[in-house]
Amino acid sequence: MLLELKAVSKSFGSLVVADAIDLQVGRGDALGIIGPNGAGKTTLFNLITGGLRPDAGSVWFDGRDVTVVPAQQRCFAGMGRSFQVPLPFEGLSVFENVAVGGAFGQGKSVAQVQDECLDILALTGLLDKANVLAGQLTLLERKRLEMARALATGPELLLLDEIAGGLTEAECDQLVATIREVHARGVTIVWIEHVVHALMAVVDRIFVLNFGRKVQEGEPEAVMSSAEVQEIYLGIEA
Amino acid sequence: MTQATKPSDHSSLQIRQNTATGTIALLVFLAAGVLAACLPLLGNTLAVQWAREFLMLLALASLWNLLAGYAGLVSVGQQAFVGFGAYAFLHFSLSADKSIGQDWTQIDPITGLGKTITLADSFPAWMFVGPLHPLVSVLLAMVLGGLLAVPLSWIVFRLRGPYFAIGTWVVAVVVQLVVGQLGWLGKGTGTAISLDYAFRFGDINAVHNAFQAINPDTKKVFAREAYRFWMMLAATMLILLGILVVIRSRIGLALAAIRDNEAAASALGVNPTRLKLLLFVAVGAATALVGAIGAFDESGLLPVKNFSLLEYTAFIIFIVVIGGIGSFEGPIIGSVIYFVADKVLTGLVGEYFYIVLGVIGILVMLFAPKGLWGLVQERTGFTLFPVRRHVIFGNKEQDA
Repeated sequence: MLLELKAVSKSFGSLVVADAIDLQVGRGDALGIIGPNGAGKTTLFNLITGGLRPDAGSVWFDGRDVTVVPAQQRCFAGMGRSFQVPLPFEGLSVFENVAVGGAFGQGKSVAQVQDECLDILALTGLLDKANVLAGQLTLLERKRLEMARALATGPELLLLDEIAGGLTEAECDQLVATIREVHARGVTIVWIEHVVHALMAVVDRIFVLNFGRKVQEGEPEAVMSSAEVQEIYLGIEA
Repeated sequence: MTQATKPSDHSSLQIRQNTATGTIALLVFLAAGVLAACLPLLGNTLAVQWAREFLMLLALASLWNLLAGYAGLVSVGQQAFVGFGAYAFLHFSLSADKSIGQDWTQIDPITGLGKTITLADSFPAWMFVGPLHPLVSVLLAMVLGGLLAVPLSWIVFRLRGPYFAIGTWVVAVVVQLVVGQLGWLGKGTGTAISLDYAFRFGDINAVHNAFQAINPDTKKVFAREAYRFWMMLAATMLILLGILVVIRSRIGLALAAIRDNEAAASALGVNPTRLKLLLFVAVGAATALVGAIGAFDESGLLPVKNFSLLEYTAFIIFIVVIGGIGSFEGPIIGSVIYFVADKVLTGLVGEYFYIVLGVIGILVMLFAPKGLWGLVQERTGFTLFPVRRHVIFGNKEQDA
């Protein structure tokens, strides 16, 4: 297993946002995570990547218990993440944003990672924006930059948080193509997404979260057609 | 990662950080430093004093800009390091030897009566290691300033944003009050470093003799002032060059990332806590160095003066804000404007100077929120000391 969560729990006061969650992601998997707003999806990402520490349970990455390991060390270990609300370094150029991920995520000099960073900019369609300040990007470009930065850290596991939300159909298709390309390069994907059709085009397994608990997990088609998921997630009476 | 589909080779693309303008600007900067070093040869005391005051403003503004503009650490307590450096310098000038040790009068706060204390009698001899050479003293003050930053960081790094700012202020007041209680440093009523201290050292005497060779009337005070000016000039040049090296390095990239978004920076492998601590310590040390050099005269040390929030932080913030925060050039422009305004306007309008300063500040914040240099950059894209890494697309793109 590349990533394993063992009975991970987290509460904010009396609000339980993760309730004894077990999750396994194997090397080369592409896992989708869905659930209604407030189900605890982004919290789950923060628990995985080290933005938050669980109250109970443990997080394992690449055979190592990383439950109390800080975010930047999990990044070295091979976790790359995008943020739901893009957080570009607005005072830096697009290239420099990606170079931060390359230089610090891999512990190298900027010169050592520059070709790789340019490669990633080309892959994510941002190469012609390389010299633009990140604060001037459009939403689609910001989302791509989120992914490009995460990729520059040389991740084994890429965690994408609602990266397709708010995009047009055509933009979404481009993004799906890019994510499939990244997956084809051997990167394990865990993707939180509301845009289910985009998700279905990439992932081989879906994990449904509601009120901080796992509701279902399995083949995308089977999960999406189950009565329970339709009721919880799509609001359709079973 | 394997190249699955399109073979993309970008090794033909280049990343450029410096430009021809940048090289010229750097050479002009170095030449200005060398030229400035000749200033005392004119023999004008006021010119040397003013130049030293200007350099101190420039160094402090550039250091504060590094903290606040590059790493987002908006400290309102840098005067703690200025004052601490000054008092560390005083400490290293003191001697337990009665023949050269100092006596001073302390006012009893209850009776209001003055009492002369002799350091050698009032305090154990092991406390005094001096009189050390001023160059050694300022370097030791620098080291101690860096060490002081470590425990202060434990307190203020728990706080964020405006709370950090207020926290640094409170901590600076505490440092001032503690230093003001130390009897051998003159307590809150102040003390001075005598002119004799400087002339215990051969090289300062040599400077005096050299000046006398040019002009036989040259006073000791002038030679000491020239010596101090050279120290301040060397420190300022080194600090500015050091800042330029840092902001152009990968550390500078990480600092900008932390400033813009700390959570995203740490998700990309940057260690914000360690970098901020490193910067806080380095800036604290350099600030103490500047404070120590500033104390090298006999005008007197007084906690309320050497730990002045107004002089060493408020005016410094003003300089950085009007010049342009987050750019290397900003504090230079701001220092020039403030210095000229200070020297010219104080003579013309006296205390109304502060009103004029306030109006300038408000106008700049309204019409050029990124400062005057920010305005120039926005309008023209021109930069003297380039920091950004520029991707060069062969002939498709012209040099910016």
